Amino acid sequence: MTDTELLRQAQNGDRAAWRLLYARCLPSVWRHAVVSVGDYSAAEDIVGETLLALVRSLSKLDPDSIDVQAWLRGVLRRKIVDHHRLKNKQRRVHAAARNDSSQDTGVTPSALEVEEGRQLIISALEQLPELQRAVLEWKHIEGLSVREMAMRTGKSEKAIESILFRARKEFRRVYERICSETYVTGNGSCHKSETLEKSL
Amino acid sequence: MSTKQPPTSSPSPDDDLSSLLRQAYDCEPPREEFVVSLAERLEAEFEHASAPRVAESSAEVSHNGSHNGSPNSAHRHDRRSWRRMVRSIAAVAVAGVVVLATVIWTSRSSYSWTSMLQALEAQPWVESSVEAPTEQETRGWFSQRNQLVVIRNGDDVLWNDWDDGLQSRYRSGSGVLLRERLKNDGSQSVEESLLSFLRSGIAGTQSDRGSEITVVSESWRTVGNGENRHIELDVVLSRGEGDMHLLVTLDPQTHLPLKCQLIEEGAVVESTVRFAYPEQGPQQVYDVGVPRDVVVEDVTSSGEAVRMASIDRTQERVTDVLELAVEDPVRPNETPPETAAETLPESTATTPAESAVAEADITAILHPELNPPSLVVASSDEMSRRVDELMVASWDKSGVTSVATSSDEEFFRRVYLDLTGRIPTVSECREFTADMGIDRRRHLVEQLLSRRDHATHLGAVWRKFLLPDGVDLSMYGGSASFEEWLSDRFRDNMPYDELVRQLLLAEGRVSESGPILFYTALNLKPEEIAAQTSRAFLGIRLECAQCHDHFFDNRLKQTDFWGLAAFFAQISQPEGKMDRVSPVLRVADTDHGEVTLPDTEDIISPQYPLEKSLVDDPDAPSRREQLASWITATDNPHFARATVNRAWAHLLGRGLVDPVDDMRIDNPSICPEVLDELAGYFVASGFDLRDLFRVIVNSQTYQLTSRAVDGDPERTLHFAQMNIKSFTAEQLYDSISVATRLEPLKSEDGSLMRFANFGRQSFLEQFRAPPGQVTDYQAGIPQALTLMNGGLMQSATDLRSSGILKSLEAPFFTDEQRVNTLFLATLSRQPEESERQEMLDYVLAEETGSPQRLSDVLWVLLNSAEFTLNH
Repeated sequence: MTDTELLRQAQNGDRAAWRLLYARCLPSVWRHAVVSVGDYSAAEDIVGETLLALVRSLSKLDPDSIDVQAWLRGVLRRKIVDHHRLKNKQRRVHAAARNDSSQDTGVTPSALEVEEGRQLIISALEQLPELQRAVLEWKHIEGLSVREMAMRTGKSEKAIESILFRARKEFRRVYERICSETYVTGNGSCHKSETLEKSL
Repeated sequence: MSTKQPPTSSPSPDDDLSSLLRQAYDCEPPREEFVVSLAERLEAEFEHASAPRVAESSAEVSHNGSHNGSPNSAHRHDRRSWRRMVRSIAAVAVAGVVVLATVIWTSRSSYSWTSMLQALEAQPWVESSVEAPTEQETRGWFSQRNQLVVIRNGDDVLWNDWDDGLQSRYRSGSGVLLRERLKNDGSQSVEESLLSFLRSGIAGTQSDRGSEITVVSESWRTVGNGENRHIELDVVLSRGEGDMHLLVTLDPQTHLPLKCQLIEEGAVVESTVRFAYPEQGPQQVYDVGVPRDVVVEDVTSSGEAVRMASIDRTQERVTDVLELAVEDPVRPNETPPETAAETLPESTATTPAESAVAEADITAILHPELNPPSLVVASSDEMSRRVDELMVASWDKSGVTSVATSSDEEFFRRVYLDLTGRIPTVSECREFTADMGIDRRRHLVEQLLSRRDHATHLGAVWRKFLLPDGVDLSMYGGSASFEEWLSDRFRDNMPYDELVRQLLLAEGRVSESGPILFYTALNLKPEEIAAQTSRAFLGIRLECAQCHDHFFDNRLKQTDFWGLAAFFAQISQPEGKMDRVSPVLRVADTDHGEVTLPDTEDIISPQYPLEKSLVDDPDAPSRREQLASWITATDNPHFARATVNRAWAHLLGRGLVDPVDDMRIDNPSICPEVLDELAGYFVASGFDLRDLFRVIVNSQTYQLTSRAVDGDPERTLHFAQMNIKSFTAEQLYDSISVATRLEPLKSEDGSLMRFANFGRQSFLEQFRAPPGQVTDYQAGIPQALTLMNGGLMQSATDLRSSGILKSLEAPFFTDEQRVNTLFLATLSRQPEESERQEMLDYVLAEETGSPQRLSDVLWVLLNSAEFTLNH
């Protein structure tokens, strides 16, 4: 059953559909909240508020015109921004400069690099179209099969495979761009992206 | 050097995309308690958001009713346990099973187990009875609205109140009503948690945790016609012990069950459960046959039954007291700390005073964390040893092995950083190394505790969590003036309760520096002050209950938050925004001002959080005075614990309860005994914060090394190994300053210039860490670059401005001595042989460039991880 169908049924008061819908959304919302704020306690608040926003807006959402996952991520982003606004001014400036809103935790150069690399990947994924981002996440993080993704999205398995292919390609392109914008190396390119190409 | 290189952690040729993304999104799954609480909250919201109706679910289920993820078939063979259950009390609880199984089961298009559950949930009361001629009468009641499951088997009664989290058990003829907390041991799945109160109904106890209920298969058919038409739902459920095959007769219109029978080996057993749907149900245990003269005993977590009160059969009032104790816990501090958990005498408690004691004790036992800390009278040395004893017991219990004690060098640097906020100077290092006395560590601690640097360091630590981060107080004197005010109190070792009283009762113009800034920084808004007060002094995130009842702590209601805010409603408040307020505005108590619940006109009276007693005494001092007295009272269950936890977190890198301002039932202490006894000691010492630091620092636990051969996270979690702490911005600046002798020390005791130091202030602005995160500071690209190439580092390593480099130019030093001194100045230790040789090789490689090369060595050491970590 697709997210759209679940949303429609939930709007009709189908509790089971609602449960299935939020159970689907929770893992992704949780992951993004945690990696974005770096604080499990704050992430719990943000996830709670985000999913509450969904249930409170159920009746207002048009299943035919919105993508539940995309809508949730929009709410999530706003909650995360609100969270960071509560942080000090210095942190906000820093987050904006890096075009992401995560925390740094390490202090050693290697720890910084690890965190930096992690944020680059997240940042690249965040810039993909919603469906491309979702399929990459479902496949590579949640381990969903093509068939399961097809069931969620209402698309054919062939279509999902095609989207996956384009998503990988787009991810590589975005990652390369971010990399080259972020780092200045001897030859002006991000050598990490070359290795990424092999992994894709 | 200023060019940032790409990270080495991102993809390598061997990585595949999966591992790449998994690494990027690597995080712990959400806590089970959180998931459960969230699910409950969402269910409630969904209920509210959608019109009550019987929904027909068809989500991802096969038409014949077989469900995805059906239980392990190995669980289907043991029918005996189910048979036992159903023939006894459990037969009635089938109603409960039916009603409360709110997991994600799917169903067929019309009649299903799920649709039946949903129909039942909408009923105010469900009453069930068992038709079983050979057995005694069994009846049950369930109410989703009241979160209640009641089962009466003969004259035995089981009463599960999930709203209050209490189970009451009465066995016929015993004369005793046993009550205990319904367990939530965190080992449940989401589904089980949703069903937990149901399970207690089935088994009659709380011991059957861990078994999941799922629908194995279901089918339905229409039987009869016309008015006699009904639906027979044939469903097989699975739990941990085995399958349960039920034949449920449903009303075709409402989907409500009319009766339910158990099927065993293909045949219907004798017992039949019949259902009725009354508007009213039992309100208290006495309504279902428990004699009114029973003795109530509360079972503690250790299984010990503690008698709370005997009930006078002629006094209805006592019954009311007991209900009040469950639903509206009162202040436990009405009971002397020493007697809080003592067993009361068996005499009837019919006087109001005795009843009040009973109420307080019940509250204390049900919520152990609400006990006032029991006073612990001991010397600081005895207390340090006691802390170690308790920690060792805790490690044994957790199966954790502690590491060795730290070396003198390690301890020396650590204690300087923790107590004075800076590393030791070269001369201090040499002085300590020369001290061969057996008590040299203890002497050092005493010396540091009495230094001005200790007071100013604590001032900075306390300022961070008292003032909201990022607030601009420049027009009111700046946060530094607040820090200085705190430092003066710490220097004088003012009892901490008095310091907090002065803060909470501050009066004066907003332009005045000092304690009034606590209010100014919070915009004089009652809700902001309440939130900060709760976090800082009670260790509770009460603001989570600002817009709604607390998600994860069902004790905290929205009225708790606004009740606390009401204490601050009667102080003069500015019109408009604070930044446009005249600095001459005077902050003082007034005789007017109330708070209301958001979006309502309901005025909330002052109310101590977690204690439902209202404060409504017109002759009492100001509201703030009442609150300050309550917070700093010796029997306040939160204040001392929260303070001890903060001190512990400051010194050991993480609180016994973590985060430090989130002390609640489902976020327990790593070692509750240490927290409780240290709190008791802190109270008994007259809230002597300096002595509290002394006790912790002199403990062996604090003095454990941070080194370990493996990276067992359990060890640091249980404080069996010292946590490594990142420098705070203040520590970083001050340590660079000390290491390089950038600034002259202020006075004869070697204290630093921490106030009115603009270079320091601008550095702190860039590196400031979020409050309460001692293991974290801002170290992103700008900070890393500043550390490598910023003005401070340039001055610190410049041959013309660096005091340490200038002094090393003296001709009587050998290069080896110079390298040794640089290690001592920065890392507070001598270099290892390999390090010494490597540095010497570098210094000596260029004959004429030795001073510049020494500068490079200093730069390297200052930028090393070891320098910026407090280990």
